[in-house]
Amino acid sequence: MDIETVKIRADKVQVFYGENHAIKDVDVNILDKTVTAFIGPSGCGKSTFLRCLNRMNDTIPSCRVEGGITLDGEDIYDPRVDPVQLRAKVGMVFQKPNPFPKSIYDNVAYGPRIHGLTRSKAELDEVVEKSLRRAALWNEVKDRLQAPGTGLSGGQQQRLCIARAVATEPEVLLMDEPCSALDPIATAQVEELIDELRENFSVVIVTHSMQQAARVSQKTAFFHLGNLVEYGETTQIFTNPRDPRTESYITGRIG
Amino acid sequence: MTLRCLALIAAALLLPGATFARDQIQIAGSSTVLPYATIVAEAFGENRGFPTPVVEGGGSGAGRKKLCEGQGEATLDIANSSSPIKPSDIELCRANGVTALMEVRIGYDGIVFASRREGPEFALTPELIWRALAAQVPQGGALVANRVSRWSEIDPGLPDQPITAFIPGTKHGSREVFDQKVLETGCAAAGAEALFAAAATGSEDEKEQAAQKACLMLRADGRSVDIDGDYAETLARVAANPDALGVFGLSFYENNADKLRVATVGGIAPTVETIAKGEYPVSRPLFFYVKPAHFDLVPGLRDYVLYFLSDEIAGPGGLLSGYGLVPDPELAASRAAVEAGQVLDMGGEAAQAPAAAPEPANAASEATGSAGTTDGRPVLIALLALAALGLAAFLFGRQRAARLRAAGTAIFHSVPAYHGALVLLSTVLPGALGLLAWGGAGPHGSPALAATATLLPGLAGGAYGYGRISPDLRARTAVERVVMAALIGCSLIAVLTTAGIFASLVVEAGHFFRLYPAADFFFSTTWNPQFRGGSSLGIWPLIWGTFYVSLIALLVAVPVGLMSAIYLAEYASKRTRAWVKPAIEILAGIPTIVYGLFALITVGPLLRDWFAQPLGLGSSSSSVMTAGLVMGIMVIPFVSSLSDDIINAVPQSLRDGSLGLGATRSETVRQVVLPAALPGIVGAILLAASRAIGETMIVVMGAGAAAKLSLNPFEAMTTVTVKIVSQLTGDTEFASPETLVAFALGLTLFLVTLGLNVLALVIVRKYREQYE
Amino acid sequence: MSGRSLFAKDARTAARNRAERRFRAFGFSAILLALLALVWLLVSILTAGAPAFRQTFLTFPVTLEAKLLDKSGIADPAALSKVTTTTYGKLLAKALEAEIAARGIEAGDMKSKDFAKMLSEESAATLRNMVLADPSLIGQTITFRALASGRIDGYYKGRVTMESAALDKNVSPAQLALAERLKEAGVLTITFNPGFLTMPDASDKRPEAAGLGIAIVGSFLMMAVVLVLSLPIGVAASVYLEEFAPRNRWTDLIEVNIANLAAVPSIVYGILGLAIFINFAGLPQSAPIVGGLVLTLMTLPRIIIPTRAALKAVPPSIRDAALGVGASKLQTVFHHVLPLAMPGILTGMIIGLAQALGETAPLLLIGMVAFVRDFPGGFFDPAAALPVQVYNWTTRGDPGFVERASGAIIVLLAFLILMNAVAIFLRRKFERRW
Repeated sequence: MDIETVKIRADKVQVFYGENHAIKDVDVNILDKTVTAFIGPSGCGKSTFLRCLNRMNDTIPSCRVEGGITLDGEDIYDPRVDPVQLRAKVGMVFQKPNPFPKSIYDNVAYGPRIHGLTRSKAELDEVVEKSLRRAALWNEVKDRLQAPGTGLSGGQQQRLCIARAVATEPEVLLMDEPCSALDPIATAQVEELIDELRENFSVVIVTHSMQQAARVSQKTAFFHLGNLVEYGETTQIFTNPRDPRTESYITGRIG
Repeated sequence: MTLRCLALIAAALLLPGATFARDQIQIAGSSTVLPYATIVAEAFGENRGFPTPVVEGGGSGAGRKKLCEGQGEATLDIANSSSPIKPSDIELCRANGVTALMEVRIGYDGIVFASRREGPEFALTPELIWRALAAQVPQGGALVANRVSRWSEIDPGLPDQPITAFIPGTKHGSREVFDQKVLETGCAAAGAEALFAAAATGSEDEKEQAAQKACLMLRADGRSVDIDGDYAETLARVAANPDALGVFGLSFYENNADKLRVATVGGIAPTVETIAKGEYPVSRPLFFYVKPAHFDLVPGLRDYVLYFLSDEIAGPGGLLSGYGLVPDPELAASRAAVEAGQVLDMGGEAAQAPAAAPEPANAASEATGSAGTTDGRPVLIALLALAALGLAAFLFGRQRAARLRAAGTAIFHSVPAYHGALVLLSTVLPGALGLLAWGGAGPHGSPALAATATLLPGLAGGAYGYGRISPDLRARTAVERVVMAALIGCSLIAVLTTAGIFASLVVEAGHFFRLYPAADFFFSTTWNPQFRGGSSLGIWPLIWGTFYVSLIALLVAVPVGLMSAIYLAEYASKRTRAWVKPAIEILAGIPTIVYGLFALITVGPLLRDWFAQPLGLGSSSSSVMTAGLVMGIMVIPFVSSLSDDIINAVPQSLRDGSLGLGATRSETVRQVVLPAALPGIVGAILLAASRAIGETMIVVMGAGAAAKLSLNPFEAMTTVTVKIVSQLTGDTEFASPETLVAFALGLTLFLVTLGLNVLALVIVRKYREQYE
Repeated sequence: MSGRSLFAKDARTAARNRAERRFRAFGFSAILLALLALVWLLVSILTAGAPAFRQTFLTFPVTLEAKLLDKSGIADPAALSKVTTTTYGKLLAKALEAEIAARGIEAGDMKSKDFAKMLSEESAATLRNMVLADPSLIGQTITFRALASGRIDGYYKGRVTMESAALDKNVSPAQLALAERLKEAGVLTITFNPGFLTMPDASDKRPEAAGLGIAIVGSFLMMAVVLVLSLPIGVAASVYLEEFAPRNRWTDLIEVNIANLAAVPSIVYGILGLAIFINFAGLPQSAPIVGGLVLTLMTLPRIIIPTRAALKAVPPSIRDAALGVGASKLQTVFHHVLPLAMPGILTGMIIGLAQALGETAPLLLIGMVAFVRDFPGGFFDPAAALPVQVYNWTTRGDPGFVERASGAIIVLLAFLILMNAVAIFLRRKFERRW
């Protein structure tokens, strides 16, 4: 972590759902090869903000985003930007494991196929294996790649979704409460994985568990009622919060 | 309370229907005679001070069968018939106590040959027609397959144009005349009958029969086309085909003379006069059969018969000759025969029934009549009395319970209203049982007897229930138990309906299979009902037609319906969806008769003029394509609505997952949503297919009625449902396999759709559970 | 390791976006196609049927001569009813001829029979009924509005042309030319025809007089039977299945059975009705009661399904609340659940009724196709039904009936729209969100 490269820069971001002002004036710089955690009570807008980063909010008709978000200095809301290309660069893993009703292999190969990342079957096989290895799933499924992805256990499913996301070689990986539907053992596996992923990606994780944020992240942002209250080094946020609201939250007085 | 109100309203509504005594003459039968009968009925009702008779079509055979079902008010008075009564009908009549029938010949129906008004004249003879249409013709003393393709090849005097003839299908009475007066005569005149007989083997009789059958064999290379629809269909085909010759009834031709040019037969042009004089050879007598025993039962019946036979109506220059009925030269004799009470020789002792004495016959009919009829009046009166008694029981019971409660100190288990209801039940249930017993013992006797049978048990039960009222009586529990039983009974009606459908189909189909080998029905590929027996009733051409029409319907409906569903579920804004979805569903709410008419007057002619004819694929406006296309439109909402539901049931998280990987919406739909929704969509398509297979009105009006195995979608074909309607309402005899086959068809249809429905339901249910 | 710029366009993404647009366009055109089909269907039926509501009439004075109509001169009803429509027809033709002469309209070499043929036979019957109802009219001169014959009417609706008339036995170009002159003189008028909705069916000789009166009454009577029977039975069955039935193989069977019955082809119900109500129970043919019973059996499953959905939509908390204050299960259902579900039930009921109203095929098999001229007095009297009347008219020989059939469909659709509007109104008004 010698040079801190800013991967994503958000500048005065506002999000509206119809009349509802969901995100107010959020400024944040997300660094490359770093795990950034968004924490805050439910309904604080952390997930909404996360979904702005790869324009998943476009799929909700009433949602409107103002302000600037840049990826490597390029405005992702620029009309010239194709959200499809953007999402190839900024992958996403969701709260509930959502493997497609296809085989394990086809789940992982889905991204490379639609984006045309591979030129041959052998190459695709290689990508699938590499992604599954990165997601620490390879050893468990290598003998049943053609089995349906929905047949795996919850933790395996979530790791499959991570493998699916990394298979497209994104630069940023967004994770929306990836462990909330998992048991503690599976959670531990996924957390370990996140730590490994940091080597290659910029990871942004939304979590409602402060402990998890403390465990996996280097940077933490605390959201409250649509505002970014505080953003800084994870250790600093948890040990020496500057804002009283942050302190109330991490000490459990509000939640 | 609501239920009770409804019951009262029902009783009040049914009351006016209690006028069972019939004052209208009831007529049914031949569809050829139908227009004449309606014209006479109308004039009779206007001028004779009697109600207008009720006239139904349904075909000669069905009419005669209904006539022979018995005597009395519940049975038919007159059966119209385009052919003389059959021995089997007479047997049925005798078996049911109908011992006297009058046969009344009302005139003649001319069968004419006509082509398009713009085309050349045809001067035909039976021989020329036979030579043009027969399957085998004599050539140099031997029989060869008929290969003549132009009229001028048969006779230089005929126009130099290709042979195409639209002749009545075998369900029509007029086909019988065509067979006898044209084909048999023509066959004999061409000297072919002897050749056929010589070629056959067996005894003289068998040879003769084989020859007769061979004479009637028509070529199957598409030059002779059977039209199973009505003359209107023949007209549409002729109007669309410059070369075609069609067969029509005289009256139909005369009403459409602006479009048709009629051919002479043997040099004689068909007119009312030439047919009446017997110069024009192709005609048939038309009849109706009347029960003289009903003359005194139904007011005006005798008057109607005589009115029909009056010169003003059926005579030359009369009302009917203006509509194309050829007057019977012996009309006066027929009239005299009716006045004299002359009945048909029915083989039994009744043949000697005294001429001018309807009294004995009538007396006999009174006895059989009342046994045969189900007079509803006593039942109704008894029911009303029981209802009144029940109401009284409720009021008294409630009052007594209330009084006891107010007077005593004991705590009542149930409120007074439940005690009232229990007394009501203990009154009404025994009463209803009594009524049932009375009905089961044979509904004889007066309203008073029925009322007694009902009210006595009712009163006894009521008194018992009234006496039992006490604080400890668990009236509510008892009432609830009865209500519960009623609820269960209601839900069993659905099961009973299925059982009823199954039983009625199986029983009648059983009758059919006793008359006709099941193997032929299921494995033969010819559908060719004949009047004189020897029909081929193979189901395959019908299955093929059904399948072909349904296939086209699904080819239209599935892409359109599925894509609409996808667009609505994945792309459309909420506002668009809010009005587009109901708008598409309107298509499902429109009655099928509307689609039928749409096929008949709009789509059929359009397809014929713009596709079938330019492509040289046919000249029929009713075709598989017409029916399939229109049915496809009808089925769109069945596919789209259910698919829309099912696509919406696919969890949003799957879409997010795909979109989050950078897939476009269409990639998401095609590669993630549709595979996930596939089972449900298959279910929806199966339901749509079941719907298409069972659809009746669109195919009756749009697909035509020709049973054949052809691949050309612009040809008229027919389906199982069409044949159910046409065989049950055709001119064939009722107890014949030709009619009963409808039930076997119905059973097949029921089983096929049952299989499809259950399969679809199971699939859809499994699918729903998966995401719930 | 920053990759390619987001602004850079690559061919693959462009192709994928094109595929996306294509797919979207397919979806859009599918909807457009479905809606176009609907519009095409409605427009074609409306344009074909609209003329049925207009009819050609001839209005002229008629002198009801006593020497023809009342030979006895004492207005004896029995004697008056002996005079047939033939006489009245001749009287009308003569009056028309006289009117044409009086107005100095050129009539060519037409005979009095040709004048008679310009009038509908129905008008003679109408005049006769007028006189029988009010014998004091005899001897007076009244202004009579007579129905023109079907061919004259067809001329103004485009069915008949001068060319076709030259070949037609029922009408001549001379008559059409005369009709044109009568129109100029104001004798012939084309006006709205209420008779189409009120008059009974007519025979093949007078398509111009055929109306829907009996069919409307017959359909109404059948719907009354369906409503009275299927509402209580359907509700009772749904209540049992939804609220009381144990979940076991039997109730599962009943459920599949009901779902299947809702999808059984309607023609099968016709066969059932023929076998059970007509052949077995011996109920009269063509009677609304039989049609109503058959349609009830057909409608029941189609009502049970939405009724159960409506019951299911009532939240369990309502049941718990009622049971909690000591109501029996039955009381809970009848006092609380049913009233709350009623709007949904009624909506389903109306939609079921609307389907039953438009059903044709089963009625063909139970003889609702009869030619009936007298209005039914009750459920057991012969009657017709709206959709069957449409079918019936399409099988008639005279081309004038096609327009009547389309017109009848307009009436049928109007009823359906009305019923569905009521259903939508109910749903909007009472819709509850739990």
